This record gives sequence, C-alpha cells and structure tokens, in this order.
Amino acid sequence: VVEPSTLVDRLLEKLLDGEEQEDDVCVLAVARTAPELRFAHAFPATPAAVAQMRRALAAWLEDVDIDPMRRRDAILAASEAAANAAEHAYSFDGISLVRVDAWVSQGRLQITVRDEGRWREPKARTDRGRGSMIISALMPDVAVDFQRGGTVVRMSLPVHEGGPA
Amino acid sequence: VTPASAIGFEHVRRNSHEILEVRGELDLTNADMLDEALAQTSTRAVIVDLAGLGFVDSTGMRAIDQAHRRLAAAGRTLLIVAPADSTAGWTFRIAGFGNGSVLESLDVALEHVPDEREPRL
Repeated sequence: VVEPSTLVDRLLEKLLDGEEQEDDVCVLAVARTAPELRFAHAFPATPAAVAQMRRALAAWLEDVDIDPMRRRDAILAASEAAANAAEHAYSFDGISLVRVDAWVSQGRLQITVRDEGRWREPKARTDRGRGSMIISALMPDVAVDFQRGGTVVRMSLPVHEGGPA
Repeated sequence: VTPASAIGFEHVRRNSHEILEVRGELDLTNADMLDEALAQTSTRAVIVDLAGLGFVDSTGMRAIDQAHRRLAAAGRTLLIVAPADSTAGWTFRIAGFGNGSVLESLDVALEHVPDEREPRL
C-alpha cells in the first residue's frame, strides 16, 4: 500500500522525467478508507446530544449499502428511541449515558438503544407515546427489554427491498 | 453544550394571512422556536409551510399540533402545508398525524384563506 502523496510524487517523476514544464500539471490520487463496520455512540441525556447522535448515525449510514428509504426509516426510528431513553430513563439529566449501536448482519440493519435507568411510564397521549408509535410503524421488528439494570430496545429492518423480512 | 439543530423561518405578511416557511430540522432541540415564530403572527389565518423541512421528529410534531389547537382556541386557523412526497408529509403519515388537516401545497392552503379584499355579504 502506497500513501497518496508518495504515489503522486512517483507518478510525476515518471511522467515528467524531471523536466521543467511550461504548463501546470495536476495529478490527483485518492485513498479510500474502509467504512466503519459498527456504529457505536454513547451520549449524555440531553436533547442536543440526541440530535447529535442522529447526525452521527446518518453520517455512518452514508457508507452503508442500504436503500435510501430504509436509511430514512432507521434514522427517525433510532432518533425516537434515543429520545425516549434520554427522557424516560434519565429525565434529560445531562449526565447519564444512552448508548446506540448499529451494524449490518445477514441483510438486516440492527440497531440497539440502551440505557441503565428506571423508566417512568410515558403519560398517555404525549409525544413520547407518538415516538413509540413511529418506531413500530418504521421497524418491522422491535423488541423492548426492560431489565433490572436498564432498558434495551432492539430493532432491525432489511437493508434492501425484498431482503430478509 | 451543543447548540440547537439548524432551523430557519421566513415570515411573509399579507393583508389576509401570513405565511411561515420553515426550513432545516424541527426537533426536540428547537421545537420551542416554532412557537416563538408563530407568536409573531397576528392574522386570522396562518399558513405554516413545512415542504422544505429536512427532518421533523415527534417533539416537532407535538409543537405543530399544539400550535394548531392554540390558534383554533383563539378563533384563528393554522393551515399546515406538507406535501406527501416531502419529509414532513412522510413523517406525518408514519405517525398518523394530521387526520386530513395537512395540506398538499401552498396553493391549496391559499384557497382556504378567506379573501378579505372582497366585501363580505
């Protein structure tokens, strides 16, 4: 493996043979970096950090081979689940951490959102109830695991239309 | 502390109505800014145009819903524009939000605005 800058130097040397040029010469070399296989993001329970997680997830998903519509579904669902955790487990305390992980396995994008708090039940008809409704509508597969030490939301969707349901 | 998500409001005043065009991301960090922007309006009919929104979450939807109720309680009307193929239109559909009160275009919304230049009979 050759660094782009070294490659450019060598190419120029070969091409121009060390001669002075009248015109400008431009050679561009690009090195592709391997995409991160896993998204792992922990953030403090604040509204701004939820939004920041959403942008980080969207950036990570740019490098994932996934249908654009499914990408949009995943971003909104993860955002709502993360907001639920930050609000209901931690009441936006600004200190406790919510952790979001995402990876692709067997044609499906898997997302988990976990907290270590104790959930206060969402009041009926609040926007958080709406948040959970959105998650169910977007994700064909959602499981919420309330454990003694916290809550884990596991959800997944096929990365391609007609993929594993 | 990270700032609120980027959002912008363009406010157009006409005799019979006002149009509030919202761009950027409406979410849990800045939904209160929609309330502040709507507080600047005074006409009976107000159009909030969400066609250019890049993202809206459940908190943003709640803000729109509450604004709609608040204006209605004051005898005013909030006309919500969110075309089916826009991000806001898609999100509302997913959330079952609107119940037919979400309009497809600014033109459709304008048809709902009473024209006060014409004398009322």
